[in-house]
Amino acid sequence: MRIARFFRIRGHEDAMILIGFSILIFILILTLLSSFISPYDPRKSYLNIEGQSVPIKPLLPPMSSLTFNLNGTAHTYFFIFGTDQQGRDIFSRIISGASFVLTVAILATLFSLLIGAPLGLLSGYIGGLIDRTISLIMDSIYAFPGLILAIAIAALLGAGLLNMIIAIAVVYIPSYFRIVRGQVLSLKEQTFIEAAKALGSPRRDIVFKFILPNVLPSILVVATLNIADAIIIEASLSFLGLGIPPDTPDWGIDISQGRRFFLSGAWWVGLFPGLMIILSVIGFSLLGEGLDEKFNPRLRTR
Amino acid sequence: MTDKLLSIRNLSVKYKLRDYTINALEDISLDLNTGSSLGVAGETGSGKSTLALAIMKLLPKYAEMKGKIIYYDKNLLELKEEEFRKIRGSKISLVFQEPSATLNPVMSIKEHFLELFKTHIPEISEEEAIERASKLLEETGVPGARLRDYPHMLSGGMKQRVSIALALALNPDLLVADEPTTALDVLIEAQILELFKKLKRERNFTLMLITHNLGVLAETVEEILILYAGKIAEYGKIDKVFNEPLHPYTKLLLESVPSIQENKKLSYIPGSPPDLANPPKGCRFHPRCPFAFDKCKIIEPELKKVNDRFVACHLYYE
Repeated sequence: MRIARFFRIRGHEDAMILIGFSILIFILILTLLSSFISPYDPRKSYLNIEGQSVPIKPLLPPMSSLTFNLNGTAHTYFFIFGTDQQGRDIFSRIISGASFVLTVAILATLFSLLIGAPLGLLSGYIGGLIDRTISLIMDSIYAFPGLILAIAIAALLGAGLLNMIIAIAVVYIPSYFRIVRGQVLSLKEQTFIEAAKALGSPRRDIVFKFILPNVLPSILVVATLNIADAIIIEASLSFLGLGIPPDTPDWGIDISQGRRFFLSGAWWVGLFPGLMIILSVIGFSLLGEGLDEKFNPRLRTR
Repeated sequence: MTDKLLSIRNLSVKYKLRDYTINALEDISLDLNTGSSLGVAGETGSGKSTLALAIMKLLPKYAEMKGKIIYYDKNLLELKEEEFRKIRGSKISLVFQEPSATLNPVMSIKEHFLELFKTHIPEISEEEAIERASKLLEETGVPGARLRDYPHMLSGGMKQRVSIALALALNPDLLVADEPTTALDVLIEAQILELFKKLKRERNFTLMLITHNLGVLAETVEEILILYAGKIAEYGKIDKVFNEPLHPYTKLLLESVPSIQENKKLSYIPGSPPDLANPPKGCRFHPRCPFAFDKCKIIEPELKKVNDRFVACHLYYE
């Protein structure tokens, strides 16, 4: 109760926002500080450490620790989440993996927002032939299942960070288009828009000062929820090998590699990156749903 | 002698929908002199709001306008949109029916005024705009400190006062008020009407007050225009029309005003307004008119001058 009062939590949506936001802050700090806090080099194999006599086995289980002498001094290696099939530290890999997946998810969402929202604004406000043309294009994109479309585009464009961002961005453009267009259509019939016209406001002001600020909260909510989806698509693309070079620390790639060792008992290779995906998706989803309920309370209570 | 400010000549408005056409207004002519006040009354669907929006040229795209609206020497219907935009809000203003819906929920009252002033006087400084805005608010009975508030923080009556202050901010010649008190309770209604009268005395603008509440008009305006199914039924000085209504519709309309003092049974006009997509032949009121005779069913009455006013009814001319 005291915690609730401290954070001014007044309803479950506030709690959702707080928890989601905390998870995201945690992941963000992890990402920003990854080069400082990751104990080992995420790309380096610790199978053959210099000066060591016996080769180390790959796929060390979590909480393994190794100690050996090098030039008279004792070196201790501790792998909290274990190592993978190449002897790389999984803990270091998932910390570094966050930065890649978040960059892709956030940039892709930003791109689709910056393309989809203005198109929706234009289409909804002007209407007529322009509206019908853009809507048709958007609906045809929307008709494809998101993941399959992203796979097709990624396969077409080839590997690479930018191509992956484009592939994911295209999938989400229609989401912004549809929500903005729908809201503009109902907003432009509102009396306060007519009143603004009656006071002589030019078209530009009506669109940017009267309509856009009323649409922004919904855009924000959709964007937050989309980042969660984009993380899953990014991981899926990497999992399928459509994203980036396989030695890049990335959750999707690590799951894909861990999958092969799961049946032979090395469950930790795929589990920890999987948990990170779940955690970050939950973080964005909680934040998005919480914001949604906060901004559109009427939708829920009615 | 008074000057003519606005003349409407043979104005017709048709809403062209996909399957049918609605004749919302037909052959409306009227004159407004500088400083005069005209009330427009009629049932729901009689074209009152269409008339207001036609003057503001804010009708939807599918509306087709014919005739002339002459403001000083210019025909407003021929003006380009960009020229007309400069008249809206500065020379001709509109106050809407629903005060809760006329203000942008995400803009403070101050921002509403800034938007208005910057649109029409681009060189105005922010300080001057704010000063003028707070003076206007005080004039309409809203404390100047409320400038910082957002619309949801104001009551309905306050919002309507703000809307009126916005409409009058640039000293328009003509203020069109489309049922400005319908959404308010009786006491606030009386205050707002008093405000209209006070502001009109001080600023001498021309007022066109649209309402279905005849009691409101009696107190506020000099002339009255009764609309029925998109046509003028009766048009004249308000005391003449109210004391001795000529058109049967006006008579029935006046009788159906509820009264607290007299314990009479509430009367109403039987039937309902005609379908404007398919209006009845002859006089549009004849299916509901107790005085209708054969001629009414065939020939549409023209608006003619009868003594001190205009009436469109076969009872008064051969």
